[in-house]
Formats: sequence, C-alpha cells, structure tokens
Amino acid sequence: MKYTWDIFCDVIDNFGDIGVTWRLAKELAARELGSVRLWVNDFNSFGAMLPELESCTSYETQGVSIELWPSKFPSNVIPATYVIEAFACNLPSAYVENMPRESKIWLNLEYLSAESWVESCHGMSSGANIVPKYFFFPGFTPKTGGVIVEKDYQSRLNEFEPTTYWQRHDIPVPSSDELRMSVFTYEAQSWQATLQALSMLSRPVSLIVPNGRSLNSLLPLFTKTTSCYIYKNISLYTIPFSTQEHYDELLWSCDINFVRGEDSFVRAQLAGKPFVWHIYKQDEDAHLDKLSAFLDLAQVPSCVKSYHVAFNRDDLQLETAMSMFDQLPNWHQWSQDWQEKRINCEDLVTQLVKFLNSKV
Amino acid sequence: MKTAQELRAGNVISFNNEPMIVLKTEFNKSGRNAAVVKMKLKGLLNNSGTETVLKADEKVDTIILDRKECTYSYFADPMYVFMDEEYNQYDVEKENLGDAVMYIVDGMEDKCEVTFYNEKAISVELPTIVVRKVEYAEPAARGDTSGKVTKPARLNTGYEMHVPAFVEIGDSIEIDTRTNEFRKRVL
Repeated sequence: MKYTWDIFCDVIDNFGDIGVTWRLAKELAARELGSVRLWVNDFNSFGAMLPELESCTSYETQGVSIELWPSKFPSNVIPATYVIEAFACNLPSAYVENMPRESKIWLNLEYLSAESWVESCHGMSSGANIVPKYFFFPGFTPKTGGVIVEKDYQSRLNEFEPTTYWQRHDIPVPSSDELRMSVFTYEAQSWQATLQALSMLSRPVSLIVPNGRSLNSLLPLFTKTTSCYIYKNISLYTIPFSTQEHYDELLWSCDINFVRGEDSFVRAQLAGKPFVWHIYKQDEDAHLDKLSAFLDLAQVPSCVKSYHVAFNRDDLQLETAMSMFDQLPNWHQWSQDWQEKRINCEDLVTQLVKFLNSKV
Repeated sequence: MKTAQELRAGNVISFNNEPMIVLKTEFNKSGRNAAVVKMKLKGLLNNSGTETVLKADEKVDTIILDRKECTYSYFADPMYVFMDEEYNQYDVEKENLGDAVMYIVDGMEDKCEVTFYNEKAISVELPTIVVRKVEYAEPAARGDTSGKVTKPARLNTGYEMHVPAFVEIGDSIEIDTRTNEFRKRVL
C-alpha cells in the first residue's frame, strides 16, 4: 500500500501530542507506506526534540515532510489519501473542503487508554462526514489499536551499549551498586517522600533529569555542586531535552524510569525497566480513573500500584515509597513480562494499515 | 445545532442527511480533557439502526419534528392517505407506516399521530390501544378454557395474530400496538 499521508497535530501543551504524531510519522515513512506529511502548529515545542526546526516553516527529515500548520491554512494544499487528525484536533476548513476529491479515509487517532469503553469505540465510524471517518484508539488489548513499536525497536535495543550513552553526556558510568533513575515528570509534591525513601537505601542513587518541569520540584531540594546536584546519597544530573531515539537510550540505561503523558509512558513499557507513570492531570480527576484502569489491566505489583496512586494524587507517604523500592526485583520481573507482551502484540502501525485496507 | 455531548436519548438529528432518533448516548473522557460520545441511532425513514462515535464538542444538526393528529382516509396505491382536522391530506409510504400498517382498515376512526420531516409525512403512530374485528379464527378445541391457549386469527385488516382460544369470528378485540398483542375481547 503506497499512498499519501497527512497527519495533523495541534500542540496543546508539553510534548505528548507531538511526541506521538512525530513517532507515527517516522514509522509510516520507515515502512515505506507512502509519502508522509506532518502538520504541526507549534514548532517551538517540536523543536525541543528536533532542533533543526528552528527558524523554518518546512523541513524534511527521516522521510517525513514537516510543515508548519499556519493559522490561515492555504486553500491550494492537496489533501492526502489518508488523513489523520491526532487527538481530536480540528482540521482546517480550507483543507477539509478539498478532502472529498482526494482523500479516502479520515482518521481520528485518539489518546491511549486502558479503560474498557475504548474497545467498543475503536474503529467505529464517526458522524456523517464528507469522507468516511473513523476513530482509532490505541490500547493494550487485541480489540484496540495497540501502541507504536518500530520494526527496528528490538534490534536497536539489543545493540545498545549504555556506556556510550553516559559518555556522550559526560555522566559517570554507574557503580555496580548504584540505583540510576531517569525523571521526566510534571511538577509533583510527591518527590519529597520519594527522595526521602531513596535516601534511606543503603546504596548510591542518581537521577538523570532532562531539562523541563521535573526540575521545578526537584532542584529546590538539592544542593548544587560543580558537576551535579546533591541530596544526601542522591546525585542529580541534568541533561538537555533529547531526540526520541536518545530518550529511548536513556530509558534503556536506567534502572527505574519516571515518565509522563503518553509517548514516554509507552516507551518506558517497551524498555522493560520498572517505571512510574505521572499521568497528565485532567478535569474531575478523570486521569485517576485512567491510571487505575492501566494498573488493573497490567496487574502491576500491589506496592507499585499504591505508589502510583499516591504519587499521582500528590499525597505520597514515606512508607508507600519505601515499600515500592523494597520490591524492586518483583517490579523488575513484572516490567520484563509486560515488555514482552507489548512487543509481541500487533503494533499500532501494522493495525492501522490493516484497518485502512479493510475500509478502502 | 447541539454539541454531541448535549444530545440525549429522544433527540432527533440529521445524520447522513437522514433524520435519526438518538436511542442511547455514552460519554467518555478520552484524554487531555478531550471526550468522545458514542451513540446508538435509529433512522426515522427506514428504522435502520446504526452506531457512531463523535468528538464531544462536535456540532450536530438537531431536528424539531412537526406532529399532527390525523385520521386514516383511504389507500391510493401505493400510498396511504391520512387527513387532519382541516381536511389536509398527507401521503405516507407503506414502509414508513411500520407496524401500524397491520391495523389500517377502511373506516377506522382512530386518532393517529403523523410525524413530518421537511414537510413530508415520515411516520404514523397509532393509539396505544386499537379495536379490530376478527375476520377468521379456528374453532376452539374442546377443553381449552384457561384462556392461555392461543390460536391464529385474521383481523379485518388482513393481519394475522395469535388470540386466546375463546375468541371467535366476528368478535372485536383490543390490541396493544406497542407489543402487537391481544389485550381483551370487547363486547
């Protein structure tokens, strides 16, 4: 199947939307499924993971044409065969008007959720549109669209050598008894209890933190030194915000990964390392339902579940944190089992192509 | 216009340029404060059912349907003609009568509710209870006195239904048009 693809991404805040759409665009291109164009309305956010975008409105890399989605959308753009509106963003009307002549399918790629209702909405047609439109829900069960796993993911993981990662960032290679954690979260009060619990471990701990919101909660608790930040037995190293490929390498290199949103959440699962998910906060605490749905579906160890709920409610107690770090071997085993399930499931791009073929 | 999240069961919307009644809605938050609404719909013109899912803030054309009380007037093949109090006549296709067609008979005086979409009569609702005459029924078998044993009968409309064994040719019976079931014999 070789067609043209347009993916639209409205960056609301942070990096979740652009993270998923950029990854999807790259993988469609990598599988040579046709020419892929990614429309993004905010190159500043996107530029954090693709610095080459600075001061341009159009850029081509890794087989993907990246276009700045202007507020006044030109009427002469020829729509693609397959049009993906990511996360219910509203497509420009000038583009939609031209879709009936060119487009076969209009797809709304939805947010990832483990909630049971997702299965009944996945693949359903949507409304009375000028082009057949469907909802496509990523997920963790066979009745959902899966998650993005690149074809070369396993080989990249197998070939990876963590030492090169640390050397690239001028960070000491961890000692044999050290616990190394990556941190990519939103602001959280729960860091206080977490650091306290980590400080009670009889081993050195290091946090590797990409520049961003996590530092707002962490840095006030640390003392700056010449090479890093220190809190008791914990060293904190900041690193620049990285490309997605380098972020994967960070996840593979650490013993525990604190992740957030959607894309890094999925990547942590694929990494096969223990992880904590700081979920994007929603109105009426809807995010807590989503969190519980995932924890239940994935059957995470009970101490990890308690920690997740408390961390995301921002009422974490020291005992809950200590109990989770005490169970690291069990947590590690669960992570590896869950990674295997994710990698062996049919990935999102494969499912997406099958779905589109069945509808054309 | 309403947003999808404002729709409730019973609302009528324009869907694929057809009027459809909303039978059920299910609201779910998807992520980043976005939400989706899953709906069960039934076509008013052809009774066909469908399901769809919409973004919660997606705008949907809602339809306020006109309804008029009418009586059945006559059959002008292939249309059934109904008339309102002002003697205006409305043609209704057989397909749009639904189950009501089973009880249509010349001279019937039942007040029917005719529903209009774009000034076209699209459906007819009979009263909940109608009385019709039994044109033919098998004789009752001896010993069947409980009233629970049924037998086929043909109404004066031509419709065949099951009636209790005690019902005889020439009887008038009450029928519940919601369930198409016999209610009682009318003296």
